[in-house]
Amino acid sequence: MTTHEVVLHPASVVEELKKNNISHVVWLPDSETNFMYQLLTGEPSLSLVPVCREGETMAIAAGLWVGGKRPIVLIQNTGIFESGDSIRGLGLDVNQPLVMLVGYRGWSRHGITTDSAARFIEHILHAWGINYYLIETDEDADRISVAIAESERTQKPVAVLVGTEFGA
Amino acid sequence: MNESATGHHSPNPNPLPQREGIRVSPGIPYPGIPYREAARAVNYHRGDALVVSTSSALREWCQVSERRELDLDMTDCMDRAPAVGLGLALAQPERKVLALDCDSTLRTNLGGLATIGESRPSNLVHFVFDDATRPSTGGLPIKELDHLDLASMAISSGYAKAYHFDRLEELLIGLEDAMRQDGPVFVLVSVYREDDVPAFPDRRMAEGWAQVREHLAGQG
Repeated sequence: MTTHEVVLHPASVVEELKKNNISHVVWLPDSETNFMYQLLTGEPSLSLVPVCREGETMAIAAGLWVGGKRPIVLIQNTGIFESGDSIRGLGLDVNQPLVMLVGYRGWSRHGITTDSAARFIEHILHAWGINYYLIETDEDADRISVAIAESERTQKPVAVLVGTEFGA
Repeated sequence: MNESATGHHSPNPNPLPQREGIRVSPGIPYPGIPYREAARAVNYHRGDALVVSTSSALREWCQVSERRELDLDMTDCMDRAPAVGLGLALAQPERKVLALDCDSTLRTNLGGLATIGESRPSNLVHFVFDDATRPSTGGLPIKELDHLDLASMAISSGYAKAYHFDRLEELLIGLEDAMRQDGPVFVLVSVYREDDVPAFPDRRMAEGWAQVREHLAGQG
């Protein structure tokens, strides 16, 4: 029997960002996204922009985008709920091609979760008409590139839900 | 003018006047600067700076700006002007970026000061127009929020320097110094309104943003 390690390594994510010439990662440092910190700070082609509250990330990304840069946002799904007005007004309404990497807190492929952050996130994205992709393993990481291409083609935000624990 | 810098800030010796009981009527002098004149002073000093303006600051700014192709209007998500300004400043480090913010909009997102202080963009100047006539609440005082020392908060959040202007002559002269500083710089301007509140610009937000983006892309 062959077994596969079902894990997503931060290096796979960073590789996708580099491949797409992403310039800035605007993020709220938290327990769900801290796995990326060491790699991101060590990558000279990426600049980190930390925020105090998730709703700021879309606004900072909007300024970077108008100024000619290629930012992405890295937050947890709870932050999506906090960011509703920014996603609406500074993502959808100004036609910002923004990819949001979203930690899928509470995700379970068994479909049973008591975490409302997980139960509501996909419904919220549907309500806004924001398409999303789920990544769980290194093999899924190329969907980040798919999301980036889609956001540029449609000039709209696209989400990538990170539904896994990260490997070291 | 009161000026403070990191590590040298002391309590403001000339704080904003207590607002309770103050009534402002057209033609009656008030400690502060007519809003339109303050906007004109910023326009005089802007050079080729990019300007992000919001709420009542935008209403005044769009009446006086002579470089609308460099103006990002915030007729929506009005508390996010400093954050948009931060993004622009990081993207365009060789160019000055001015965020024209209001007391009411800043109060809804005070954490944004710490976010700017953390990234410390040297080319960002964050103006806050403290409007004694309180147009955002229809003149209703928000008593519990009247005692915030926004300039001190900016300094303790990591801004390099903070200014407070409440006289037009000092604003016109002092802005020359403020615009020369390595930022982020915080500029609090006490204003009052002499006339009716002007309208927002006709230009739709998305259209204006596309225009600025195109302009910057064209400059390489």
